[in-house]
Amino acid sequence: MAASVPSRQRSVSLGRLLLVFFAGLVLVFLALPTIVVVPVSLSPTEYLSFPPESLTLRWYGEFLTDEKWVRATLLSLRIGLSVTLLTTIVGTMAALAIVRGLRGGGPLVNALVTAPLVIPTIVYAIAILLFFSKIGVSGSFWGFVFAHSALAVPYVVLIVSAALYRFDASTELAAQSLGASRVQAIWHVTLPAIRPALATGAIFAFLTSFDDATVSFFLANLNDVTLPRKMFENLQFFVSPVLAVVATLLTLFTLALFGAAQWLRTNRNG
Amino acid sequence: MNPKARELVSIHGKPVAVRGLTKAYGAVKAVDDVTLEVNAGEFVALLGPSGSGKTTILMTIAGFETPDIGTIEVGGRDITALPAGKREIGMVFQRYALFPHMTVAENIAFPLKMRKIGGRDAAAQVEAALAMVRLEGYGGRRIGQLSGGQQQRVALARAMVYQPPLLLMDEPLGALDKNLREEMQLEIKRLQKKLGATVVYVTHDQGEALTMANRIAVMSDGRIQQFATPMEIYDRPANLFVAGFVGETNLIDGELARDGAAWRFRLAGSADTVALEGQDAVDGWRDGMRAKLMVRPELVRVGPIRDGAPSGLVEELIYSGGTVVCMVRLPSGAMATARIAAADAAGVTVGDTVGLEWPADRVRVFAA
Repeated sequence: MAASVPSRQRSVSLGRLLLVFFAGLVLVFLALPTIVVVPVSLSPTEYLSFPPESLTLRWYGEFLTDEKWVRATLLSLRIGLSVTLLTTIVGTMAALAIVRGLRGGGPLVNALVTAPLVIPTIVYAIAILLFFSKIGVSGSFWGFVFAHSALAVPYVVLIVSAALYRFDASTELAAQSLGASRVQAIWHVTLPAIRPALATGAIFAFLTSFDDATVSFFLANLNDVTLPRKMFENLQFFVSPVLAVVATLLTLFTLALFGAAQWLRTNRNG
Repeated sequence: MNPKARELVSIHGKPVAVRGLTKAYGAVKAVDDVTLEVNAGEFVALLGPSGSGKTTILMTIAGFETPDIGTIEVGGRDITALPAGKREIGMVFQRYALFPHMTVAENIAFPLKMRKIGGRDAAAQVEAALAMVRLEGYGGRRIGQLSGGQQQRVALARAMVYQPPLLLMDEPLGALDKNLREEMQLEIKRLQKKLGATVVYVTHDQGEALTMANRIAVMSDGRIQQFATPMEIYDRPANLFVAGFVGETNLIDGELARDGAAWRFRLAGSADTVALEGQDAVDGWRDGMRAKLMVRPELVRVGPIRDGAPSGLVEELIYSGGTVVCMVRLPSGAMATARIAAADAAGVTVGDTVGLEWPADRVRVFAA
């Protein structure tokens, strides 16, 4: 007994060591390519090179002064913010209907609303191109907004309905008994109480739109391109370190937003 | 409390009438043709096991359930078709249902805000309501910083601040521990008396109902089994369900025996009989009919054996302070419980055969 205990501890620690090693390996493989773009973006050469010979912010300046890059960035931001506004409102209303309103139909509506999560994006993109060409919104600002909204709304519905299930429904009844209408009860009590979930849903919606390349690839015309689409073009025709700059900025921006979402989720009652 | 505060929160209770209420969920009738009339300023408890329909009645009065059949009146006005927010009814929930993102004062001010009362008027009324539940100075606190008892006081203040003529309470003390529950029972009773509010109070705790209510409606299977004062419910239960549900009781098997113009009760498994006096439903009785005799343990006296009177074997004596619980095996094999004064138990030991006695007019007999 006394002899077996240390040997078991030894085998456990060896297992742990292997686990840590492999987990570390996986993390390095996942993160390394993303981290590598940072030094590449600081390289002075006209082409992508690693490791860089020296460090310069030249390509950051290039990005900020190139009208095409700036236009693409602003377009992506405008689309992203519109999608965020639209899907947060629509998704929250859908979540309220699923959790509170529809007694039997909830699961069906839930399945329909979250379908874009499981349909391959490329299939969706082709379908949306055919449909939008017919009704003449392909390539327009609102075409992007609607197409991205359909992709983003499931995240809002899932996050908000999870918060609604956790929220004690009798609180809403209490508000009604105290003189509120159903709408007032939701507006004054339910929505403020689930604010962190609303913000998290909004962030996911924004990122879904902002990161999307597939749908934009099909919908974009020559003049109005979103940032990911512009990156594709750059990659195809003249690979410059500006690409690495955009990749770096995009990564930092996304990380910041995800960090914010994570912080909101863990500090729910803060 | 200062006199001004008392003036700000004064409730004029109104009578409530539930008439012919029926509510079914699928094939199950949660409430089955219930009629209930509550006087102005009265405290009525709806008492019953879970699934007896008591909460459904409360939710229908509050406006959260629509009756299939029947009407609800408050102060003579039919409110059956009004939405919950227009009924002017205060409601207290089991889990408090306070608004977690608001302070104590904001919670209490919410019904005032919904009535477009703001500024100084609202602030003064909130202060008065806080004083009423003895939480002066807690207005700025967050809900999460309060104990369960304090949260329920806030819920009470919030339900009373707009002076509704009717207060509904859905097991409001169910989430509190025993000591706090007893303290809050007295607190709620004190407020109700002082303000003159009409209260309909749902509970499955018979002690709570007996302590607090002016009248109790005992419910089972969607119907009111008995609607009477606590004393009447306890002393003269209308049927076997009420007799078994409220209070400790002995239900002794046997049969009815005619004795000239009067009735006696013969205990099962013996020839022993006891006299019956002041019984209600003797019309349907027949000689030899199977029946159950209900007698409260505190009414049973243990003494010497007498011929023709009930007797049994003492199997257990349980001391509980001032009284002793004496468990007696009857000839039928069933157990009877007597709760006797400790002094009277001095001569009784386990293994004795003892005679049992009780007042003939304090027992109830139900045909079985």
